[in-house]
Amino acid sequence: MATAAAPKIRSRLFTKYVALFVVVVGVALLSNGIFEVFFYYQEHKSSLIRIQREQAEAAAAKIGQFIKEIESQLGWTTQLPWSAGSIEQRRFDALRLLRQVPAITELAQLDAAGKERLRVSRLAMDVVGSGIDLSKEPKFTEAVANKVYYGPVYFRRESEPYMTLALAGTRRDAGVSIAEVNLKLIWDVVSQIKVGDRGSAYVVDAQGRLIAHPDISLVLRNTDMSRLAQIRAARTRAGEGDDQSEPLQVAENIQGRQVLTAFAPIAPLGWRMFVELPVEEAYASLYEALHRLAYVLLGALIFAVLAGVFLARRMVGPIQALRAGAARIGSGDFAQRISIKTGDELEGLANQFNDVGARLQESYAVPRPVLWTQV
Amino acid sequence: MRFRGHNVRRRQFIALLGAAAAGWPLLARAQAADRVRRIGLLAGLADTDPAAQAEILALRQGLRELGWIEGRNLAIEYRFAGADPARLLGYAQELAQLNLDVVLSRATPPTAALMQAARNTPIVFVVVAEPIASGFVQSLARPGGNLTGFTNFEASVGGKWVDLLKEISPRVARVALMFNPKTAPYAQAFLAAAQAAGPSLGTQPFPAPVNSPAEIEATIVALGGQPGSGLICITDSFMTEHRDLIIQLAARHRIPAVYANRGFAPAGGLMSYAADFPDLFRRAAGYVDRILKGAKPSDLPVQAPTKFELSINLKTAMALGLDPPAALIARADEVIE
Repeated sequence: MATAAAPKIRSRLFTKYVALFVVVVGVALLSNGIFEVFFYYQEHKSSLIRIQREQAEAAAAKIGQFIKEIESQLGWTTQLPWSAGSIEQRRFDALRLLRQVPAITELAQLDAAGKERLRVSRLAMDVVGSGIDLSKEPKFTEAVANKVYYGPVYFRRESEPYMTLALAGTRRDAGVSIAEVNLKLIWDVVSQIKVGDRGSAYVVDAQGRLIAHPDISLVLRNTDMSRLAQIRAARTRAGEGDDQSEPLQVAENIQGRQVLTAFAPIAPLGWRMFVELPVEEAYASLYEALHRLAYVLLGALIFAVLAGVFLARRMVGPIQALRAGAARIGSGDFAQRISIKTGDELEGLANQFNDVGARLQESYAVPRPVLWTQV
Repeated sequence: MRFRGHNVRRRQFIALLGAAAAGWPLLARAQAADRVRRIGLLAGLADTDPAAQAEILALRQGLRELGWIEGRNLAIEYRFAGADPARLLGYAQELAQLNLDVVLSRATPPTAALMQAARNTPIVFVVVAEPIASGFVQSLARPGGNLTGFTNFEASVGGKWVDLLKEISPRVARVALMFNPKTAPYAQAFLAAAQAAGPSLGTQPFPAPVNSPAEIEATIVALGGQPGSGLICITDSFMTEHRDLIIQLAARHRIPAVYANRGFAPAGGLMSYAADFPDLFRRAAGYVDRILKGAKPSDLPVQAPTKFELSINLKTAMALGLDPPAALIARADEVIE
């Protein structure tokens, strides 16, 4: 019975020790790891969003600057009233403007009545005094009403992005200058923005129509982006004029992939610059951290098992020896000595057993009265 | 002994394992960065042509700005065929067999030759006037095949040339639009634009197709016999080859002429109005970059030129007894005195 019970008891103590060890080490490491990964991810994500927003702002500023530059150059052509200066002088100024601003492909000048008086172009012959009536066109009426008019983006020969920019003079009789502006620079800006490995940037107009995207075919297909949650969120935010609230950070993009996204408004146009990064890529470092954590945990567990085994052996071995010694003493083998050299309480306990054994041996060594034993 | 040997083997194994683990990603990365991509360029010019030199310089600069450096991660195979059609075809086949990542073609005939020879290689054409009419692409927005690129003109420029000719020489009343119907089949579109602009400028542009130097001479001699004549020259590879002849004839017969290539004004031509070709090559570098990074030519729209340059040769103007208005000279990007 004693021999049958022994391994059972031994193994229970042994496994208890090992398990305790593993649990203590495991819990400590796991909790530490999880905290770290969690905070690391939060920081990582917010820094990604911050970088995206900065990229969007820088690109938006570049595009805003480009448009404002054209506007201010165009402003020179609307300073004089039509009564002053000759048409030849105006033509000369207009041609110089074309030379100065490569993005303007064509420039038309209208008098206060909305009649075209002059048109110069890089691509076609110049026309003086055509008298075409443009007074009902929005590029004239809206420019007169708001001083400036940004037309919708259109595609010349199906592939060149253009916008009509009209500017009215401060004086009513200065008329309106209408420039056809090549927007290819915006495409260049957008295709050069590098967001992670597979991220991208794009521009949408106030209605949510795609204006620039690294995948030009999407733009030429005239893609409406307004159904995307991030575009709607940006539009409602603009409506409330609330720039402080946290914008939408994770949404689905036009290809149906989950992306981390940020945007910046392009000041004079009401357009918006969006920057996005696929969530998998944003999460990639999180997965990496989790992998690392798993490896560390696995290593630590192996170590804990080994250390647990080693310590439990050191603990259980002497106890085993004690139990065996005690059993032998109990069975009458008083000469038995237990040898434990652990230098701790177990050694003391073994010494006490040995003392008990020695004393028992001594007491049995004294000849006993015969009568007594015989009784 | 055996024990030690075993130990050594184990140590070696561990060292090997460690080296493999540490070296693997490094090796992989180094391979990716060092992989040299190969592109080609086929031009219908002579390699000594100053225009070709300037264009290649712009292409290389554009590529360098995008991180493609010749000799490090990029190799460029240049083929200059001049105006020799047989050599052009030979070079096109040669480039096709090299299995290049991208091939650039300059002007319409090399593009046509390459299109035939290299059906699967992405081709970026530059300085092509009418890519749809030439059958290179289905539409400008969606080229559809393995070609995309940069046009050098829009047909409406035909009107601009008449405009400029009239401005430098107001007495011009009849304008010949000289072109080679074989090498410049697209010239009809320019002619139409020129003829549309003609009446309002008081001129009558008419076509003057030529196929040989003799026909060039006959055309210019005939113009010289009629007062108030002017010349517009569609400068394709054929005209470029006979540049000096054309310029000499125009000077001898006192014909004011406008050329569609910037190289003609420094060589003695009166004036040129054309797209900035080096600028097109610089922008073509952007398409090469995108294709090397995985974009398909069929997804990249054909782009039109944005920069046009006006060059005036004042010496030639004076020799012709012309006095270009100050407004015209002020607009010029290049004035040769």
